Amino acid sequence: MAEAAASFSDGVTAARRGASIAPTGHGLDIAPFGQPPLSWRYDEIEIVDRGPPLVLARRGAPARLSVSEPGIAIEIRARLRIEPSWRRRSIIRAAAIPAAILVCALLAYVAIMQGRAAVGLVARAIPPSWEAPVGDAVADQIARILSHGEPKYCVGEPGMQALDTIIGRLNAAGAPPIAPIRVVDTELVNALAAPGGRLVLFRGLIDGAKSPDELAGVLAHEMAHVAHRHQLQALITGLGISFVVQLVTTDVTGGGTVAGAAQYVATAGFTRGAEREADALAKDWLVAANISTVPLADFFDRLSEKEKTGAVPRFLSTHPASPERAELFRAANRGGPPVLTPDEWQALKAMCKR
Amino acid sequence: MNVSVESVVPDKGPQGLESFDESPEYNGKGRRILGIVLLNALITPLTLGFYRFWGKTKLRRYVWNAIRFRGDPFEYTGRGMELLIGFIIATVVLAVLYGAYALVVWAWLRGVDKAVWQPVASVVFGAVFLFLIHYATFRARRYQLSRTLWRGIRFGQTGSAWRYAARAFGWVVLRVLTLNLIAPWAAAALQRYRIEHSWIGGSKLSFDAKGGPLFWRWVGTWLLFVPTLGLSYAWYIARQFRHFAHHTRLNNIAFESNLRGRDVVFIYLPYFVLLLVLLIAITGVTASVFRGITPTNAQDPTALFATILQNGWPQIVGALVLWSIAGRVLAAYFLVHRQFRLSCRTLRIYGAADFSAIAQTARDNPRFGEGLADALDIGGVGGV
Repeated sequence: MAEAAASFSDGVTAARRGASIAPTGHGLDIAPFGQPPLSWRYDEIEIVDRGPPLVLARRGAPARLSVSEPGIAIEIRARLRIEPSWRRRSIIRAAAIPAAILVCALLAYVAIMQGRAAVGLVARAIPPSWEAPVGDAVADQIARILSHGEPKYCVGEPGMQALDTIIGRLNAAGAPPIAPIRVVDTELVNALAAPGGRLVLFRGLIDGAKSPDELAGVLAHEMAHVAHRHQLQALITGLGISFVVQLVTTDVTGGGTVAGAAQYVATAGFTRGAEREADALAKDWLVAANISTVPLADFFDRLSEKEKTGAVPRFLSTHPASPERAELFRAANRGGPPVLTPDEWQALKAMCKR
Repeated sequence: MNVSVESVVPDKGPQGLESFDESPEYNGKGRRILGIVLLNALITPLTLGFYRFWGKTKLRRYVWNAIRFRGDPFEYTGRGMELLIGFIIATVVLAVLYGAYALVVWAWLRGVDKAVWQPVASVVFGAVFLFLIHYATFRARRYQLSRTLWRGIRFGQTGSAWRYAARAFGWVVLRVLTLNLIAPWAAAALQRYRIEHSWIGGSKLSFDAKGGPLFWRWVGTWLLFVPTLGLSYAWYIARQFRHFAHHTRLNNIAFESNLRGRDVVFIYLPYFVLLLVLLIAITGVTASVFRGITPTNAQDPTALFATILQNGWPQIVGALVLWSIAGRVLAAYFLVHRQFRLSCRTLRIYGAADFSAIAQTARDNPRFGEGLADALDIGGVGGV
């Protein structure tokens, strides 16, 4: 049994006093200068600083023992290494990080696989009546931005009636009722569904449409978004994703950029899935309503011509590939007479003229 | 083996007074810090970001331990779990705050002229955010001090984060109104609040510096700012640090610093130069990616993002990874390692102190980590 000099602070004051220490079979005998002797068991001892000097503590207590004599320090560390509770602790410590990585990989897998289902559950819990005012605000805001000021809506009465005819046919085939459509006088070739069944149609889409059936196809697609409440789901998904992305990326230099990129990839994944769902439902309605789906397929063919600028990797794209969508609608076609008479179609085309 | 007990008893005067005049010792190794930071950067993404709380704790433990005063190391006793829980609480609080703000603004802007009131709403939001940043900084300091030990004695911070944030906010307003001429007084007042509420065990630090003696130097700093390419600011920072150290006391212990402006420059200049080199290198790698951007798609963030990614997402991902890892390494080396080393080397602590008068005190310490500061991403420099 060796005995050595050390210094001891009792954890009550910051005073430091000399002490003689002696490692025994089961612990450390400490005799501080001018204080009663004490004994620390090896299984209670923690290393505060490997030093030199080696600084020790008794688990959870503020007293500190500083061992500057190298021989004794080595002897104490050797005894701690063979102490069973110490070996247990070091095994747990070594296993903790791989275990954490595994658990996180599992969590990520479940979130990716079951995330949409969870979002759907949350969305169902929110009453549709809450969506309506938000939808009106969003739709008006979009119209205002695209009109560079007061919203410019196309209000030609015969054209509105023609739109209602198409919507009536789709409603009869199972599509949900929607609020009066907003047609915005802008060249943009697009249409979108705001929350609460608020549809916004852009004049460019009507101008570019080759037939009423094509327009009916686009409307069916947007109404399918309404039926699935995709806008609300997108909102919930966005909140969830931004929470996770924030957790993962704060504390990273350039965290804002990383967060933006991660959010984009995750959101793109959501929209891609939503577009597929909307296409599937729209196809069923069009067939049930006896409307030809070939014009919509042609529309996607024209779109894919425009997209041939560069290849976006699948996981970065917000939409399914256009050829794939064209194929879906072409295969589903059961034919049918044009959804509007030539007169109605002309009225619709002219509804933005004043 | 028998060693005389007397040989290690500190040199004590007649009334148990220890007299000393020394600098704290810093023995941190740059290589070890680099290792910790790189390991953190590797494990953190693999654990969806959760590991960073433990990584930060590990780095703090190492750096705190590397500082010794009178032969005894400082200790950091914080836990990764405390930081994680604090972060989650703060995220929930922030989400509620953001939500409430969005609702109020939305309801309010429906009935009023948006062109007039939208900027007002933004200013209000900015003010709340500024207030929160100061609040969070004070809370973070409280957590860190409560987890700092020397010779087993806990440090601590009292005072109210609300009051501190209110003062800091008031000083910002005054600085704007006085074209920032009042900055030395603002710095002294806030430092006084921080120091006068800092404790080692039951002993409180005291601070009696005024802003006045710094005023003309501050004016000179701005007159010389352009001719010296901004270096005058480093001289001022060093001067202010010396002034504040000189006016800080703990019982009979006094502090003195001989920090020079050039010391500050030697830390921050290489840091910013290397950061710039890194940025230029990354820009070079990713330049091709930004070529396809036209004014049309630059207006639409989604289209812009899609264009960038489609022109070469591997370069973008690689650049971000490089930027994030190299950025952390540089910050840890210069802003943590070199900074701590310099602070210890230039600080002088002297006096005749009875350390048995510095007694452990039970204090109402925070249970969880510096959540808000972490959530707002102002947790501190270089991941510490």
